[in-house]
Amino acid sequence: MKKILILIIGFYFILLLQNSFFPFFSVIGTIPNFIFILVILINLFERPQAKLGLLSSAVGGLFLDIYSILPIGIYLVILIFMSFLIKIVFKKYFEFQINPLV
Amino acid sequence: MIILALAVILIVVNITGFSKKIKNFFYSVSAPIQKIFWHTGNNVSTFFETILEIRNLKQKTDDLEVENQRLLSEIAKLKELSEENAELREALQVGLQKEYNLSFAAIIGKDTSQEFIVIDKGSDNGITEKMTVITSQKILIGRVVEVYENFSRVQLISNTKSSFDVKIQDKDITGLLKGEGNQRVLLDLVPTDKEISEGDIVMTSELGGIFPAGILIGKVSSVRKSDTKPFQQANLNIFFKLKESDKVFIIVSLK
Repeated sequence: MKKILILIIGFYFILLLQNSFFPFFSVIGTIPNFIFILVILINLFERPQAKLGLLSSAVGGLFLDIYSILPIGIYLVILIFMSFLIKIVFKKYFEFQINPLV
Repeated sequence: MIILALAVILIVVNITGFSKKIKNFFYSVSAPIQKIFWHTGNNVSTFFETILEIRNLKQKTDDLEVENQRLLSEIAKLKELSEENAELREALQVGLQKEYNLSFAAIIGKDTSQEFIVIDKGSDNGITEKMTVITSQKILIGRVVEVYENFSRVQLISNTKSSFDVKIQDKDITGLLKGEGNQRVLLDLVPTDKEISEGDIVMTSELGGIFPAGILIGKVSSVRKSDTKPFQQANLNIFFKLKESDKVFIIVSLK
């Protein structure tokens, strides 16, 4: 529960920074989508059976949807799909156990 | 089953317009924080730009001294003209407030897709879609594409979906301005027999009816001409710099 709360608050502030602070530090006119990067990293470095990656996809996707012009659900579906994809690829091709961080 | 339920919820939320209420709620809650971030970002970036500039300062000082001399002589000339201008201005009642009914707003953020900005005025303040957004110097920013109760989203002219008619100041040349993303725009569909040159000022035209006529857009930076094509193109340096502005005007109606 604590992790979820941290995730929601953390993602919320990262998104606000991304929209209102980092536009001043753009490289060639663009800034990276930090929520996207963070969700991928969580999914890559968590235990295969853990659910935090999926949850971060849902929370991150929802926030991205709320603060974008797209209809609510687009980023949500993309991120959840990506989360599943990473898990499937890991299950199929990586048998070895790396030291999970999360 | 869960996926199906989720899909149904999302579709209902988007179709009924409830998504607008959700977005408005989140914007209202986060607006004060976003304003602080926007100002801090502005200050921090200015600070770093100043540090980076120090290396070039010597060269710049020399250049400026030369320019200063030239400008001093020009000032004398302009002073006379400005007195005359002030009288004429008063006589003609030129000025933004005289031409348009304006609403004032602050930028609170950029959209995640980067080619939109969010401003802190919405339908409660009389803002509707398709309204034109400009700076105090009468420079075109873009137009309102989505309105919430207390916020609006403005599509920048550099957005790839943006295209509208423009004309070149003091010349009888019209063309189509297309957004290319990353604060870049392209002037297209200018007949090859028309002469455009670097430094020409581009402004909105009454054709097309998207923006009011006579609003400044940018300067021609390079011209692309080809004998095989019926039209020539030009790249523009747009006057609107997101990093330098946090206040905007929305043209509510023409006077």
